[in-house]
Order: sequence, then structure tokens, then C-alpha cells
Amino acid sequence: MTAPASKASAPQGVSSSPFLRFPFELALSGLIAVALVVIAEIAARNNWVTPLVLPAPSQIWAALIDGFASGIYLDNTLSTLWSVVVGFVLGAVIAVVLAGILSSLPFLEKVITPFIVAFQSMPKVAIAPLIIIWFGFGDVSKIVIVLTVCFFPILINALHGLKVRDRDHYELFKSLGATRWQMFYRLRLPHAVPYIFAGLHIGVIFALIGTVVAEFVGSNTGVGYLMLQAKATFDTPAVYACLLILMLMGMLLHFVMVQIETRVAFWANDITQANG
Amino acid sequence: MLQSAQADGASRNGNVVLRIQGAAKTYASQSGSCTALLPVTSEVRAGEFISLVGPSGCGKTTLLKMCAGLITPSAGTITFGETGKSIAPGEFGFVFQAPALLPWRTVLSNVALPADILGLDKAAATERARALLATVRLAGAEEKYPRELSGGMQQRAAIARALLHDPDILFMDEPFGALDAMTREDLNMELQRISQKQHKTVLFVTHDIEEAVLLSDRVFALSAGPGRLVETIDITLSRPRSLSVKASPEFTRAVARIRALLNREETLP
Repeated sequence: MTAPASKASAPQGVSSSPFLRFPFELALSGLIAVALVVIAEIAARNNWVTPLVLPAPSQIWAALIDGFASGIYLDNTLSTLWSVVVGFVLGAVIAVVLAGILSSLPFLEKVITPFIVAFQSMPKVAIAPLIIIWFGFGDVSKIVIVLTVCFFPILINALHGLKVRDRDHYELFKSLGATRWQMFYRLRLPHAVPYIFAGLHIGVIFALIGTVVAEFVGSNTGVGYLMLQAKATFDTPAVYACLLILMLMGMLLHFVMVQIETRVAFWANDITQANG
Repeated sequence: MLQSAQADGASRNGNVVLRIQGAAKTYASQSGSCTALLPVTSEVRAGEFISLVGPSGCGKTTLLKMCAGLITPSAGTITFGETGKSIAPGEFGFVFQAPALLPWRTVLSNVALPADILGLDKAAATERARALLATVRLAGAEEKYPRELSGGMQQRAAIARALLHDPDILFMDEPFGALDAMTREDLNMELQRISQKQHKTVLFVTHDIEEAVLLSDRVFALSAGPGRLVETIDITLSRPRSLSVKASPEFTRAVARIRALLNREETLP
């Protein structure tokens, strides 16, 4: 069944070789995914593994459909997404602004750097319980935890990008009598954009981790909360369904970030694409 | 001979634009201090094309950047025109060894950059940037990004950028050093054409003696260890000069003379 399909898909593509390679690899990935699902289904139906460990994919699918049909999954998915987006955007804005201030005031940066290093070395999710104590159950705590978790990778990368300066660029601006603000706005900030995006890519995934942790330790909404509930009733298919939702959410967030980056940091993108 | 006292070409009738009086540079290092350039005294007149030529470490770039106010002299002064002060930012154009174009700006926007910094009229600057790109034979590349251009084309854009705010003086720090010989010759001819047509005063750093003789009215020969100005040589070849002038006896003599100045020990009989 599958062999002729894959044969047909490969030559069906474009005749030039770079295009030929991609659909074939994609088809192979798809084939592996399908095979894994089929194996899991067979294993579950024959009771090779207990459904408590690995439920049949069809059961997971049914749990997913049920959850969305009842509206519970959609509400909680949106709740999780909302915390991720708000926390991430706030964290990113604060990180970039702070990086801009620190990089413009070398004295302050030297004083602050040990604190940044100290906080960066600490696992940020570990302060989640403390934040729950401060802000209570609910969205505020979630957003603060997300903000804290995604803040540091963005700050560190932004600082790095704002600091690196081409000597010729610097002297060019100096030769034109550029003010500090012009030097920042027209040279250092655009130079930092690809670095900031490197931080944002890490930050957005951290934000998702932060949200789930926040929902584990102190919330009554979100996909993480749903997972805890499902776990309490040994509803393994629902746990898997939640994991699936989180995975898709992570992929979506990553995809959106890549799309934004290709538009905003286009001059750096093309170089990486050429190298890759 | 080509002694400075004898020659006094038409190009040297202009007013003094840069007066260099005992300008020297010493860098503080861990083991005391390091002399980059011993005191230099000279002057640059309006419309002159002057090359600073010498081996690495002779302080030619240091002297150039001191003239542009990018490096502060440790001793002595360099004053601009009759102001009695050093040249102000924005009153000159600077071309670096690397094109130093901003990768996030189009070629046109890169050329117009000085207008953004100096606060000049944007529409007029864009028009002028277009005209300058045509002058450096880059018409059609306005909307491209720097990475889409070859090294020679990028350097042309950098020259156009240095001319945008119509400065009287152009400082050029080995602008063609990274280019292949043929591109370099093309750009030499274009630089001569532009500097003559727009009556620019040019200070040009190079380690290529032939390039210096080809382009200059005067050559400042510098020598290393520690850097110092050895001699100023007048080049009286008539303008406009074509590449074929390189075969003329006068050209060859000037090159040989500067080479001898720069390698004294080797050439002593």
C-alpha cells in the first residue's frame, strides 16, 4: 500500500534535484510517523503494553475529540496560549528595553551583570511556588512566571547583539558626528535584531514550559491543569491528548517566530539560508 | 628632480585646509609607551590629492585618522582651514578599507545614511544618493542589499556615501586594498575623475607606491619603527592621467624614488 504511494510522490515533484530531495525526505518522515502510530495501535489492541502506559492512538484521538466537543479543551488551550503570549511579549519587551539601557550605560551594566549571572544560573521554574505565594492562584501568577522564565535568554542575547560593534561602522558614525541615540537607534539596535531573535526563539519555548509549570503548581485553568486532572483519574488518553496539544502549540509558536524573523531580520536570514 | 621646493602646480594654489603642526601619537601600553607616529608638520591645500604611503606600522592610518579627528593627537595640533580647531564631524567624508555598509539597509539607503545622521532633507538626500550612485556606475543597484554586490561595487557605494553631504575633504584609508588589481585600476580612474570634477581635497592612505603616484599631487612617504614622515614628494604628471602614464619615465622615476626612500638600507650603494 505505502510503497507505491511513496514512489509516486518522489518523481511527481519537480525535476530539478534540490526540489526533488525535500518532498522525498518529508514523505519519509510522514511514513515513519504513520508507522509508529500503526505499531502503537496494534500494540495497544493486542494488550502488549498496558493502556495505562500507552493507550491506543485511537483512544487518544477520541479523548481529543471529546475534549474539544465539550469545549473544555478549547477554553484551556486558549487560557494556556494567552498566558504564553502575554508573558512572552511582556518578558521580551522588558528584556530588550533593559538590554538597551544597560548597553548604553557601561557602568550600570558592570554593576548589574553579577546579578544577571546569578539569576541566570538559577532554574527559573524553581521560583514558581514563590510567585504563587506572591500573586495567588490564577492568570497573574502564570504570566509572571512565564515572564521570568523567558526574560533571561532574551536579555542575554540582546545584550550580546547590542554590544558587538564593527570598528569601521563605529568610526563611520563618529565621523558623521552621530549622537548616542543615533548610534543606538541606527547602528546598535538593528545590529542586535538577529541576536534578539535568537533569544526570542529560546524564550518562546521557555514561555511554554513556564506556563505548564505554573499550571502544575498553582492554577485551575490551562492545559497543564487539565493534565493534572487527567492524571488524578488515571485517564492516560487525556494526558496524551494534552501533550499533543502542547506539542502543536509549541510548533505553532516556533513557526510564528520564524515567520516574523524572516520579515524583520531578513538580511541575516538569507545568509543562514545560504549556509544551510 | 621631483623636489618639493621646485614644483608648484596649479593644484597647490588653494588655501590651506589642514595645518598639521607637530602632530604625534603615542599609545600607553603595559610596558611603558609605544610611539605610533613621531611629530609631523605639514599642510594640505584645497583641491590637493595627497597620498600617505608606507609599510605597515608607519603610522599612515594614524595620521589620517588624526586629520579626521577620529584619533586625538598626543602632541601637536591639526587645524581645519582658518578655524584654528580640528575638523568637525560631518565636514568630511571617510572611506574605510572595508566598505562598512550597513547590511540591513538597501544600497540607496546606505548612501543616504549621512543625511539621516546630519539631519539633512530626506527627499533631497535620496535624489543626491541616486545621482551619486550613477556617478560611481551603480545605477540600477539602488534597491539591492550590500550582500548582493561584489566587493568592488560595495566600495563604490561606500565612496558615494562619503560624498553624499558634499564634503570638501575626503579621507580614504586604503579603500582599494582588498580589491583585485583590475577592479582597483578601474576605481583609481574613477576616483581621479570624481575628485577632479567635484574639486575635492583627498587624503588617501595606501601601501601601493604606484597607486599613490598615479593618483596624487603630492605623496607623503612614511617609514616604520617608529612611524615618521620621511619626505614629501611632488608628482607633476599632467592631468587627467590614464593608466598608460604608468609606462612613462617620469612615473617610473617617481615610483623608484619613493621606493628608495622607504627602503633606505637596501638601496644604499
